[in-house]
Amino acid sequence: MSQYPPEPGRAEAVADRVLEALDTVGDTVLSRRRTLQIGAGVAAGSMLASRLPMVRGLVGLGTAEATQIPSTIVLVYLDGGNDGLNTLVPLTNPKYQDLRGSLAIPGNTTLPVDADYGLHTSLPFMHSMWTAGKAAFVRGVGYSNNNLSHFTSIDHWHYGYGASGSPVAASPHSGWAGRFADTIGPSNPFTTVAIGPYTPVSLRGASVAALQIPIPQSQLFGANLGDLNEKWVADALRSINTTGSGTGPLGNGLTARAVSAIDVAPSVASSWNGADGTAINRQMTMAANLINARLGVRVISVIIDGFDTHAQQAVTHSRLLSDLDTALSGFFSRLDPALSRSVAIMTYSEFGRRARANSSAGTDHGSSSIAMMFGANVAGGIYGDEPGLTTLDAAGNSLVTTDFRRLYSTVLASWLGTNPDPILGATHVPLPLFAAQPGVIPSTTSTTSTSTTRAPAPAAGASTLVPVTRAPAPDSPSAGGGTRVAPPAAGPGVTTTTAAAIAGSSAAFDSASTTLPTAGQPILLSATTTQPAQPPTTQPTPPLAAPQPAAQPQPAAAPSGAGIIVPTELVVPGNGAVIAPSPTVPGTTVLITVGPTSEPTPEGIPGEPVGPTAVPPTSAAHSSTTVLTGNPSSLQVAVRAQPSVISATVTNGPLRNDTWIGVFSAANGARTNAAPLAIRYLNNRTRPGIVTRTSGAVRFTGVAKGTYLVKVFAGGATAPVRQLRVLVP
Amino acid sequence: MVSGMPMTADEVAHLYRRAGFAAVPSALSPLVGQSRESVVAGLLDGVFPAPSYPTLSPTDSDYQQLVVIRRWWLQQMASAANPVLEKLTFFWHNLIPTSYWKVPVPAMLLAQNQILRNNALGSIQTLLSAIAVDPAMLWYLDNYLNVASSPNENFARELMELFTLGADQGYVQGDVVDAARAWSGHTLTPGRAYTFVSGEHDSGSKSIFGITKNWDGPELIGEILNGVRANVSSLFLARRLWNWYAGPTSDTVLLASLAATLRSAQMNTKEFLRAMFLRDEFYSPMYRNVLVRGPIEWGVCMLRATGLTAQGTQIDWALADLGQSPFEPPSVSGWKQNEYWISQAAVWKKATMAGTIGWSADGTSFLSAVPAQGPAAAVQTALDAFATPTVSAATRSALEALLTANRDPGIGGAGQRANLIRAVALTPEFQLS
Repeated sequence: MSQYPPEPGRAEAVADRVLEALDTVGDTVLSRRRTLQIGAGVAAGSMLASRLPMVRGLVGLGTAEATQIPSTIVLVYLDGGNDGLNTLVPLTNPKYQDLRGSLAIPGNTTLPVDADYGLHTSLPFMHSMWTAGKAAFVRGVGYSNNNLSHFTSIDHWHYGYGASGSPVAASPHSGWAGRFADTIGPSNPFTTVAIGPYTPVSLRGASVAALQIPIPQSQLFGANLGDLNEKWVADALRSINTTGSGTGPLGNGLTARAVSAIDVAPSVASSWNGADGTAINRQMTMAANLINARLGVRVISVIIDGFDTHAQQAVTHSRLLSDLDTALSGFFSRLDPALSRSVAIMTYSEFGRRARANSSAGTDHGSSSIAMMFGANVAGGIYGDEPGLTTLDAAGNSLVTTDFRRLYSTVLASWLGTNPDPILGATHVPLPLFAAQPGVIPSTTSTTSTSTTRAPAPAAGASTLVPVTRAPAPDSPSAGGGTRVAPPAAGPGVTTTTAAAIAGSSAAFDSASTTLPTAGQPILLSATTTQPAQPPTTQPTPPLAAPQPAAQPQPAAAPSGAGIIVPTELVVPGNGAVIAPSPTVPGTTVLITVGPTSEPTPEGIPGEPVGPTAVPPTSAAHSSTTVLTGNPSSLQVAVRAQPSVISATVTNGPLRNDTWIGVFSAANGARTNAAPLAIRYLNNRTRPGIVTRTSGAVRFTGVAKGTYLVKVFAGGATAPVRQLRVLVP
Repeated sequence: MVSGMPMTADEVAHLYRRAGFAAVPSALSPLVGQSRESVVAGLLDGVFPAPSYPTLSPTDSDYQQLVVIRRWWLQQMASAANPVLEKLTFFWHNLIPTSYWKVPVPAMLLAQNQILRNNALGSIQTLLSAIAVDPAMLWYLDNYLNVASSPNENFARELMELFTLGADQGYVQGDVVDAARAWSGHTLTPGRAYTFVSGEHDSGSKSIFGITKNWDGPELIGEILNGVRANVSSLFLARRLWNWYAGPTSDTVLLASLAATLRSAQMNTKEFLRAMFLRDEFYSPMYRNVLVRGPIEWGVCMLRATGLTAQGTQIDWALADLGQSPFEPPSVSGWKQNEYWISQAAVWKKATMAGTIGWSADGTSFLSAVPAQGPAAAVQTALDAFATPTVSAATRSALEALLTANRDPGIGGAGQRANLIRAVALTPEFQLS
């Protein structure tokens, strides 16, 4: 802790490391670093220019700034209406079995919560959070007079409507989190981030628009301005915006967003690091990356869809909960431990399910459900009155005991540190879901989760709520509005073991709680000292020559349906070198440019690369990352002499991180077991990156004169899927 | 409007941009100077060959079939001789949608498209009556489950709320309940064909719009469009059509006038379009640059300009990323308009797609004149080809600067056409309509 201010150079080194950690591939690092060298003047408006000082501030400028790690709430929308009753399962309510029949979950298969509840067996991580005292379950959440429409109900939730359906008068077309962003202002585009295919209304502000980040795609415009083609177009867009397009408000919106998109692209591309698996897993990975990057993200929204389980619910619901649980586990294990006390996750859903199962082994739309909060500073426990199953509403749904806006009030007041009343248009008493303010270690350590001794959160209204040690009988709701039931008493050792044993995430909390300084001390430093394990990223291949045009043509998407064209010979204008593609692999298309000085030029492309149709994804959203398309549809190679370079571009390959390109001696390279002279993965490095990609451009420099075979090995394959014979003159 | 007033080049371009998917100046120049009536008649009254529908292979998966019909329709929009019909069919698909998400049988979606297409320019009552008993719609809004003993309100509600009247306009919840009863028994056979099962129909007395009788579902459409609710429905539909073709408005006088036009045209879409395209307001500066081209329209205009195909570019993938896939609207209320399509995410995806299209077109003869032209002329060539001949000075100079940078002696113009195509596609002028 005594290292402030750091020795000269240290801030830069750490900042560099943070930046590198943000980066996905060498070329991004390259372009970023170049941008930094050029200076903030050139990168006017660029996030790059503004982010470095921020990082430095955190590292080097002492306590006041170092503690300004802003808190973040991750909102997980369980789209479709999650069955709260089968998530936090009642163990002792005899009506449960009656109503649910075959859908009733046997108590002995649940993960133990307390005498009255068990957690669905697909939620082992959440259960570990519970036993570590870092999970809060809120019962009976919803609003009254729900008309059971998905649209109406989620509008209530996202706009933050009252039970009467009336919008918040001051800002009727905005969502509750968007109104929070409005209080901060639009200067930081990362304040509110919607990950996924669209921006939920909840994040729509009156003056601040959320940054919407798509689930990974292979290319991101603006992330690689080292590519001159991209840079020129980006410059054109900037220039249109700078001088005004004169096309009215919509045109201004388009151009402003275009410039912003260019600015934030590198950070967004970095957020895809390691994002794979299910859609929710990818979103949560991106969320953790964005938070770790310290971009000032305050609200992140993610969506897991499919909870509208009208039929055959059991299998679907189990899978969804399992996916969610896995994603949360991954999130916490990825989250920088230094930030763990500044981050919380809240799950919500537009409504729960009907108490009685329907005849299709499913459940129809219900009313109240449970919401869940997870995080190192969450005050573990069960909150809200148990609605029970004896008294149901007219539609046969469990009653609402906790207005959903109390959750918002809690998040806004106790976690985001703002006055919730103007944002919600009314006063809603917060729930004591947090054990301490963001970044602060609770006064009673969280790993010793004895039930009644933990200090309530300092939130307003907390003092009005009396912690009790046991849930009320399920069908006799207590009078209080926010009864809290703490996790079971357990010895510290037991709890720690349990928590640490699962996914490493709770261990991260424990690590944070034992090594982090107390409130008021710098936090980032302790993080950097407690996680030295990550080696510095391999330096990217340096530029070949300055300036670095890298005028690699952006290859076309593979046209489909056409036959395969195998050029037999290409005569390259200039020096008359004749290069014949290898006939051994059908489908080969070659781009060869040869000349002592010229850059690869797409004008020399004789026709379009043509290849097999990429296999369409198996779902309409083509969200799967595991679809292997077989062969990349095109390999293009360009050769330059003096200094010699072989540039190879692969497109439309399988979405993998381990597709590689090798240069082989033409003399023996045809042998299947020949050793390559040099290799590059699609990230243009000699080791695979974390990011999966379908295309990439790599460069081999310093190649001696001679004839070579360039081969592509698509993700994990032992035989090349494309190869070309090239001559380096 | 003064009858017979000659149209300017700008007005002709505006009309073609809005009525269809824009047209290049050289195609429009013969129309300049003709009367509005004549030009509009040319758009609406031409005789065009019927489209050929794709044949779906039963051995293909549902998803593969979906891709086929998607690309088929996109290609229709991109190259059909009658773009007015394509844009109007898209309007109806947006207003009265059915989604693959709920109805994963592409043949049924294609059949519905055929109904929309065949009736797009005719009587709205005929169109809606056909859609109401279209198997895809019966499935999509659950009316096939609507039986007397257990009414399902889904279709009855959306028919009024989203298709004809507007939320809480001219109906109350009691009307929905009884309308659902009126539609009971209109269902599907096991083979998914429409059938009316009288035994499942509620033949009791129902009160809808204040009229109490033994209603049957199809009667409802007549009362809504040409009966007791004609004033409400004409206003609703006129507004939707004006929003789609001209732009959003809150001008109640204009809307009332348009609604009256629709009623006097007996709810005939073609005659309404004619009246709309003849109005002075349609050409007013108030309605310029007030529509953001949604992904489909933007992509189709790219294909029209470059001559590339939906199949060759696999443009449906990019459109899915952009959030607008034919036959897969996000909900029964269709796609949203304008601001909904403006985001950083859209910039990234559009730039990616425009790059792909640019590099694909770079290998064709498209814009082949550009390399030999000076920057100003080359930019104009590209803008003309994209049917966006008039742009701001800022846009023009930015494009010229791009071209100049691309022609730096160290680069030599490599990829200049691809880069120009990409940049033009991302100008505000091309993204707006």
